[in-house]
Amino acid sequence: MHYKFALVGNPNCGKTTMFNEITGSTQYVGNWPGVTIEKKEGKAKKFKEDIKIIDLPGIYSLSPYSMEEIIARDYILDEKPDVLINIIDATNIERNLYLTTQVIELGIPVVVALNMMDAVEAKGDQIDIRALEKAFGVPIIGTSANKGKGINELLHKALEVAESSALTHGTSACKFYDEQIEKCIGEIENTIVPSLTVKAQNPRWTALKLLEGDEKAKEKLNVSAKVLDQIKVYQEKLEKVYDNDMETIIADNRYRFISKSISKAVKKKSAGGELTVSDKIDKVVTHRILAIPLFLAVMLGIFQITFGAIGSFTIDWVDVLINETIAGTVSGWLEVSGAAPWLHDLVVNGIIGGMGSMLVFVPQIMILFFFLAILEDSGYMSRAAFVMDRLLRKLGLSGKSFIPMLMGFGCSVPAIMSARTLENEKDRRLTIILTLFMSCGAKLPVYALFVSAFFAKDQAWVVFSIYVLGIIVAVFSGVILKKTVLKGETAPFVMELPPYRIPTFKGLSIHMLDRGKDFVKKAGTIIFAAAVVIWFAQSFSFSLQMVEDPGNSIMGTFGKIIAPFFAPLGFGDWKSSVALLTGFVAKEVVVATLGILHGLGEVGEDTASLAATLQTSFTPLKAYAFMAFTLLYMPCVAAFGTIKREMNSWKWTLFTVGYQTGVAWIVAFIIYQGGRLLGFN
Amino acid sequence: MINWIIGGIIIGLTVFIIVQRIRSMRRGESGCCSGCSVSKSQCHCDHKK
Repeated sequence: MHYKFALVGNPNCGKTTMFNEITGSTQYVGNWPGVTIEKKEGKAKKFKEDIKIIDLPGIYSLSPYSMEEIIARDYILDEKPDVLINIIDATNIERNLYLTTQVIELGIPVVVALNMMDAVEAKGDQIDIRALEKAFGVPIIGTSANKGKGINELLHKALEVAESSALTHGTSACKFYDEQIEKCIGEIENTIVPSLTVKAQNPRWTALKLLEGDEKAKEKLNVSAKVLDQIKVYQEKLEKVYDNDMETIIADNRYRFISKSISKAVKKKSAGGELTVSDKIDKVVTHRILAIPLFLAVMLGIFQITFGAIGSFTIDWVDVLINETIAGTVSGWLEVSGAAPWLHDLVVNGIIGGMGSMLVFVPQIMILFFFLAILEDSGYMSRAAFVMDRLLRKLGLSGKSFIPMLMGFGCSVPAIMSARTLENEKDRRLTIILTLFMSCGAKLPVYALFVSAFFAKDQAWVVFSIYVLGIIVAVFSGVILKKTVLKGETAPFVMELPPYRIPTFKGLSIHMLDRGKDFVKKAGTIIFAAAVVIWFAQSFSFSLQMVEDPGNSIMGTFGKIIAPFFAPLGFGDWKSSVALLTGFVAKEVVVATLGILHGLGEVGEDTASLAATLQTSFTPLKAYAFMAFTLLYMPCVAAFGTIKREMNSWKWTLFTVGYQTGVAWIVAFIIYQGGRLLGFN
Repeated sequence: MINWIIGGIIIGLTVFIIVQRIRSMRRGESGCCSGCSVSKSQCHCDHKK
């Protein structure tokens, strides 16, 4: 049999963790709301039945206000899953049950997963699951998705509900409203709904939506003016009785029902008002004065570990493996096989040198992402967003922009896409532009190479300052753009702070290994192809003759044309200029290009040799200006495509890329020329 | 002979990767998150254990 189960629940209630547990996927899980923006699909493992699981975005209600709510509701109504698995954060049961009341009303079989029961038990609270089942009329199973507890029981129950022909367990006969409202719903259901031109699949739900005045539902049902007048009579009658608007009356009734139900089923150990551990930690980490210095100190600590002794050890180890062991073996084998010098140069200097120059930094990057994952999974990153919101609001920007900006530290592509959560188009465009100033993971090999060459003793401080520079430039750009081309009202930002959680080793490993896998995969595909093309362009002239001096090659000729553009920034040599240009393919290619052009990969040449070669054409000041330019200039081709897709305008896409490159040039110019004026070298 | 074989494989692979890359970008996939369509919001969306 084929079944379709959809997971629905509030943001950060553990849906994606549940999805991963059921399907065996390794979806990204974050301890902040809004990790899932679009639905994801997978198949349940360990079941002989063919069960498709759909992970819907986290939503607080089924009212069609935000994009996530519309996606979730449209999916449920149009695709009609066999069972809706409503996941509830048991530590925040009252608010989570609001969505449950709406989900039950849809008329699709529902099974509730009371998730995070381990946290409830740890707090010493008690939930009478049977009493809740009785109140809501649907099966409820206690689960702890992060520990894999209750998942099988939940799926068995969902299967049972899906298989039962009468579906009596799934569709609840529960009524959440006062008698007067129920009477109006009943009358609309019996007299008005049958007369609609579009046939209602769930008459009671349709009646309720019409009474509530749900615009999307009215649009979908193609409701005539005559019907709207009939509905208005009921609405006016109830609004007079309750002295409130219809939407509030309905919401208030649902909350009253929930309140009544949980007063019988939930017993809290501590009286309300007592501070939880999360509250106590928050008093410090979101403190008005301490919060930002603390955030900066935490980030600096992470950079110290990553670029300190541990990180350096991993570089040395991988360096020996690639540039001595592998390059030596391959070189020896090619010589024995009688390979031509050009092939030897292509394989050893071009491919191994190009790929190797980036791969040596992969373990270091994995260490950084391991620590960033701890911050994220523990719930600390949400606090950082909250703290930044306070700062951004003072500058007239929406704190909502900061979540995509935080995601931009990983990869710009999903970060640009997460700007979709902003309803206002101007805010969305602004967020996309600001996100691109964040230092994505692909730029890390560039920093790692330059700090090891020029700032050996202060590696962590320098990389940290580059990250902070990105944030500062983004904030300044935001203020300028908000006052000029993207003028408009700032959307309010409401964000729920998730409770602190101890990150699971599994979760951290997924983050770290995925990041490492992505880099290795990229090295084996894009960087490989780029290395071959770069080797060709630096070995041949326009007349396709092999050249001795790379300065006379295709790449050299081209590099010399564009070099004057970079000369005022301190890196006007053709090799650096052309390396920046190849960064459009992928940012790691900047390092691969420098590696190939400076002969990394030749046996005996290692990353330390490349660093020494760079010291002949760069000074620490020039190196810092180069890193700042790399941080801020135009994005890679994948991000470029995503900007075009998301902005849906060539004008705005080109403006974004032009603005970024312009800002990068100005900032690098100020750093280099300002540094020189101050006597730095 | 060895030059032709290895050179051919390298050039063939390079052309294949470039063509695949262009195709996947036209399908809307990201180069940063392998196998991820830009119609999804996160990296690692299609990774299986």
